[in-house]
Amino acid sequence: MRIPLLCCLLLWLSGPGTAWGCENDDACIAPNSWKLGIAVGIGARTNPLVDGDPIPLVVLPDVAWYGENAYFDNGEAGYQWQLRNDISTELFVVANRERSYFTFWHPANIVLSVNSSSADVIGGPLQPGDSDSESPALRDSISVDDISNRKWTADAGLRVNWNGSDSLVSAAVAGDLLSVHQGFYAQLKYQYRWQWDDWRFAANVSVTYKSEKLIDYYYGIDSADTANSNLWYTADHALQTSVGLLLNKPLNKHWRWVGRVQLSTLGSGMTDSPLVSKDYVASGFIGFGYRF
Amino acid sequence: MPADAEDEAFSATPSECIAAEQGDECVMSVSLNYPPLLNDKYCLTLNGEPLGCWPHTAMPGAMKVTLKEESELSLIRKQNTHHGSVMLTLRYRSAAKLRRRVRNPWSLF
Repeated sequence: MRIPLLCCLLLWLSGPGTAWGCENDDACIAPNSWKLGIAVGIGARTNPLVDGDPIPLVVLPDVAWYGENAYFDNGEAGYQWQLRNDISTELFVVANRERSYFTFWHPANIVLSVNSSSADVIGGPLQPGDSDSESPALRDSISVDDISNRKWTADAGLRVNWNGSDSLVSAAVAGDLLSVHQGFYAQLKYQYRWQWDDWRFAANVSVTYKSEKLIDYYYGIDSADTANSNLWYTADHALQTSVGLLLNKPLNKHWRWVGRVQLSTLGSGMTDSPLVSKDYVASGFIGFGYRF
Repeated sequence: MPADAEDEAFSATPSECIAAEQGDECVMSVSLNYPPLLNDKYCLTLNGEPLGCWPHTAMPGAMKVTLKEESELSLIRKQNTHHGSVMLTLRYRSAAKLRRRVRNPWSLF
């Protein structure tokens, strides 16, 4: 329900304005050059896990380097081929973000300290039986604080992009590079950019399929997590949809307004897990960006 | 018709310079409009570099500027009082050298 509403809002927002141009835009870069920036503001990403900490978004770095073909862009490294003027493809390696829900010390959190008693932000009231003095084996619920460790990993994949003058369609498939979850995901994404006065917008909508192995590694529950077999859960694959909007208004050569909102549904393979208390992840940020 | 707030602001027309390709300097003549000025000297700067200073009655109505990058043209009163600025942007006829980034800006987290 939320996704269609947001889609309508994005379509309405994209009505007026002029076509997006690559020049003078943070979204474009010349070969053999860097783009470095840092944005400071206020924002957060919700955590769908029971007792999971929301991830604060206070400082957002923007780090990109592009060579003739190789690139590094905000945590993703790859090698890109321009097949035609309007089609490019890349092999890429990128950190898998599922693990970020399981840890307080996600890289997003290192820039400030956060009150760890913020489970209420994800709307998850304490479950019956939650108490420090009670053994997890006796509980009839489970939280992120009770389970065995989930590991970080990186995914490697292939992406194909179709570039229009103001739109972009991309299709990607990526699998576990380090044999941690041993699964894969596939994503289809559409992005539309436009400019209204000095404001630059980019709206996106995507559908992501995540395999059973990927979902089960992070959100499945077994004897390693709890002795209560009633809570064991073997996860199925999941289909996740997402919509988002980025905005950017240059104030001068270095400074700009930066904002973004994103809403993703998680799919029943994930939300059926006793470890998951929300069926969506929302994130938002608004602040000032400084471009070096 | 009374002048509205926009007419009172310092402005430059055009505010966009079109060069042949990325890396080229771009030269253009801009028409300048000033807010009501007090009896004093005023200076124009481009990215902080002085372009010249004039009495308020002799401010240039047009000026040739050379851009190497997106630049800020500012009107400053002699006592360093900022009176407004405009961004002069660059466009390139051949944008083939620019690549669209794979990831969105500010998307590390």
